Amino acid sequence: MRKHIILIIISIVLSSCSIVPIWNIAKLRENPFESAIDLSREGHIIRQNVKDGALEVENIPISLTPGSLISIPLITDVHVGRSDSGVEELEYEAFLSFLENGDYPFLINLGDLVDQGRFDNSDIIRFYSLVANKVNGNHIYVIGNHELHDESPERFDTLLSAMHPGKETSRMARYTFGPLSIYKLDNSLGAFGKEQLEYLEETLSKDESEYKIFIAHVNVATGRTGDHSFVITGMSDQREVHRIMRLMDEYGVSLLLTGHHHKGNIEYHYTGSAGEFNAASFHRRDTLTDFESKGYFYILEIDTLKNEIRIVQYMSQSAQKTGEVFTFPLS
Amino acid sequence: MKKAKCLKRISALVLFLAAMTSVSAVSWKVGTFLGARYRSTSSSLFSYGAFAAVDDLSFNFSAIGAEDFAATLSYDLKVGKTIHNYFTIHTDNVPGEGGFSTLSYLFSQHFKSRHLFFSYALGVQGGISYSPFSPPFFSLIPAYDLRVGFCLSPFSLSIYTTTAMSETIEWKMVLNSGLSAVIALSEKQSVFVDTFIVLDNLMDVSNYLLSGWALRVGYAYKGGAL
Repeated sequence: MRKHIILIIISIVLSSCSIVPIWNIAKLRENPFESAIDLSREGHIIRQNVKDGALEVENIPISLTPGSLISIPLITDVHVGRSDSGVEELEYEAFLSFLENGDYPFLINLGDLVDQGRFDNSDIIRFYSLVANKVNGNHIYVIGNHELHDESPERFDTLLSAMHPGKETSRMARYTFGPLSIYKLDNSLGAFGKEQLEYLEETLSKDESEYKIFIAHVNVATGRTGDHSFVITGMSDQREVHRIMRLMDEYGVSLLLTGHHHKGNIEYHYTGSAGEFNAASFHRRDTLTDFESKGYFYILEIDTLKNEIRIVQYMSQSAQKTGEVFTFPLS
Repeated sequence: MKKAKCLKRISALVLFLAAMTSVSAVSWKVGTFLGARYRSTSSSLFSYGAFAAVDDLSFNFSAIGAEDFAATLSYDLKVGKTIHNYFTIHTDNVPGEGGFSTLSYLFSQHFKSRHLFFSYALGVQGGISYSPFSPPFFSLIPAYDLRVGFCLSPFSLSIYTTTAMSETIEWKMVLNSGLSAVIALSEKQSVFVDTFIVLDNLMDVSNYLLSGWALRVGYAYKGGAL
């Protein structure tokens, strides 16, 4: 009787979720990193409308000249619409004013903008467009696991399809901004997959950009300095983790930015010149456990004169500096 | 001269017989397998391996092409008729990129009726990962094994889900589910077919990732006290 119950439980769990083969993560006709999007030349005006699942976007030319200090706002895990126990109301007026006053060229969002796949929540489009229009329309949006909940990855692709017409996917891409190359990766299912890793290495071997960073949602390296990802969250296939580390070392990638973990604020220094920063969530949750965040955003300062990357922490609700700065070498 | 040679031969024979006698007092098993194994970091699908066991101590080696090597040493401390305590050391390596090693303990119980068998195991696994490109990292995860099957001589079939098989030990918790069929060719020899899939991203609950699969055929020979 006991074994029947166990088999029934396993069947119920398996039947209540979808199973995605890893070889479908980057089942693409072409290498998504090959053709880069120039963030100094391509801008957008984002309307607060969605038509047939796609954001209404007006693509506009811009002309920006990167300086020796490139400052980029960084957010993750906003979870617009999340309302379960302890989650504080999402407040971002101070954040919008901060962006307005800062003249930032673009913004990086490490994913989980939505909560439980609820793209139909109009507050999501409102947040995305209001933030985007403060940064030349270049709200670089990484796909997270919540973007997949109850939805297919194609829903995410469709949403952003008008930003870069002709691009096969919005989940993986390469952006350039002067000497900087930013690789947007998809590990929303907890893995990169063979095809994405091969496309990535193929492009890295030809990329002559002086500086490179990776951005992804799920935390890659886990288990240092007593961080909680020792037990929960993080990628299961340590071979893929080591593959990413080798690629970063071999091709001069300075930094991997990740989210997902919520608690965040974790520095991993891989080699002397490569590392990962796991950012804390933008949304705030008041909880007795120590697995959540008081709500932060960051300014990523890429300082080409001092050859360092500084990640300056701010409170998301008040847009006030906390005094915390995380530093990585710029290789 | 002749006497010395004769004495040497007798000594050698005595040692050989002593060895055979001691081996026959324990049960032992050796085997090998060939097959296919999909991993996202391997360009090869070709997998192969070998295993050996002496009484309650077992060793397993497996590889995918020349890219991914794993070895496991496990000791089963039996208590009574149904209780097993598994202590396992595992190591996994991809040359040039790094690897990880784990230490685990699982408490297990095995039940058998006339044609049916069932076992479960629950425990914990600690891991350390190493790479030329980073300092070590650590993990701590639950470990489990669940098997149910039937046996109708010379054939037995089981379905299982596990994190404890050598080829299925991972850094974080995944769900490996498979099917194993064994045909006993004789009291000592058997052949088996085994297949499993790997489901990752379990913490997400909404979307599991089919991150790997394996299919292998193998042969086992057992001897000693059967």
